[in-house]
Amino acid sequence: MSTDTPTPAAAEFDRAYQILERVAERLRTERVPLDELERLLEQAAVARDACLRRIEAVNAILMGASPGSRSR
Amino acid sequence: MKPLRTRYPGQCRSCSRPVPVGEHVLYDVETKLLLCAECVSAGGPAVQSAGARSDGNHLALSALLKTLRGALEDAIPSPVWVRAEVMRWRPRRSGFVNLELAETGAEGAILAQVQAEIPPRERERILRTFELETGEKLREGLTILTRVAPKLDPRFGLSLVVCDVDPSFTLGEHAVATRRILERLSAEGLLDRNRLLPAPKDFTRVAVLAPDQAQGLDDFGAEATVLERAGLCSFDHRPVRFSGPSAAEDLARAVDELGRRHELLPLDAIVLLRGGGAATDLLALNDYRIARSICTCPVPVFTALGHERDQTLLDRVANRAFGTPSKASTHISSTIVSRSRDAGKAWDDLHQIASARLVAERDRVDALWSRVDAYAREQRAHHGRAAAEAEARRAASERGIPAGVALPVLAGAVIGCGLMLSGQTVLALASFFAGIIIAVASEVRRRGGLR
Repeated sequence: MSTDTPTPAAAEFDRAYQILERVAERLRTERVPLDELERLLEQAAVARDACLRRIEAVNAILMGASPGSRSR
Repeated sequence: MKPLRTRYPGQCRSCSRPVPVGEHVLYDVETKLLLCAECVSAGGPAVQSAGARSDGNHLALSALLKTLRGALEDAIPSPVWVRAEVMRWRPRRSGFVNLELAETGAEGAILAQVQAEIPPRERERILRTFELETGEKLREGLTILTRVAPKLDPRFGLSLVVCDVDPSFTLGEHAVATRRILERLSAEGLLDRNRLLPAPKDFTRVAVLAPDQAQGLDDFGAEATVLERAGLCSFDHRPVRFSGPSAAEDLARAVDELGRRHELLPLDAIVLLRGGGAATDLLALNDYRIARSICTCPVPVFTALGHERDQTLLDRVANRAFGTPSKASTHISSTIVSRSRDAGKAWDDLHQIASARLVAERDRVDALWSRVDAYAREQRAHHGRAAAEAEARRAASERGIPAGVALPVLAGAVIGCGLMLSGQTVLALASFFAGIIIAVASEVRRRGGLR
């Protein structure tokens, strides 16, 4: 598998992480109305969960795999 | 006296007749004089003096042949070394081995041919020595250097008695043949093709070409079976003959076929295996066809032909020569073990790096989330402060008299008092009421109008 093209799951992680970054930047630089703040926080929470879910999935693969099988 | 055909004109020493070129005569080696055919057939005194017994006017055939034998023994008193090709080979029950020796020209035409025999008393010594030294049996088709004594029997004619055979000459002949094959492969650009294929770094599927019941197969199989049972490597044994006239062709065909099959079912290596036993057939494998098949094979070919001391042609062109089958299997086994160890270490490294990376990613997400949370708290705090200020303003406005009410009333009262003192009572009342009306209107407007 080529390492140049991210897998769909990896792309999802990147998107979620970018959402988190955008929300953080907007909250840092802009005073947003309360209802907008609520919407942004909900969006950021979903993105954070997606990131953590992906990390856990990779970790599960890492823990579950072993170098014992030989096949061609 | 020696029978020969004249190559130069001469003169008969008996009748003094001039002898032309091409006439059969008897030639005296010592005196360098000759007897013409007529004097020989007449059995003249010169012939009798040469040792032949006359029978009337004729020379008996036996007498002639005995004369010739004597001449032969005089000419070649002891055995001589002769290079010849064995054209025919027949061991006899009597203990003799009958041979037909020949000399061939460049085109394969027979230039000379003679019967020969190995006497029973020499048979065992000559044959055993030859086989031990060369690793193959004396057989038809070999070119040998043999020490022979010519024998002219009045009944059976001319033959050679083999006294010895030089094995090193035959080995040299094989070396020359091998060199020629190597030169040909080199000229064709094939010589090092298989040898330069990358050596397998791991083995999962290996084809084994070996004769059925080969001794080396057991040596090889002991380790191969362990690997196979462990599911580490499969071995596909294909029986093939390593001896006999069609051995090289069969072997070449088998290698070619495996090379073609490799395109569909990849092989890591092909092992040519023939362990133990006599080296008899190894020289037969010094063949261009099998060497070429190995050179052009896309799969690395290993040889384990059971003789470490002598490198064969196949060893020279193969990807790797192991000498013995057990060494080949040990190499395969140790490569697999080494590869597994490398894989284990690589996995440990990978696990460590991946774990660290996952921890870093989690920290990165957590840090970013903390920033979002902090900014959100700040925003919420700001909104809270704004709301509190608005509430405070509203409460303050509810507790005091608004300026819009107080000022008109106060102004109306001051103006009204002034007018009252000046005696203008009506205007004074009008001023009081105007102040009150303006104050009420201002308060109504401030509160957003009438409801």
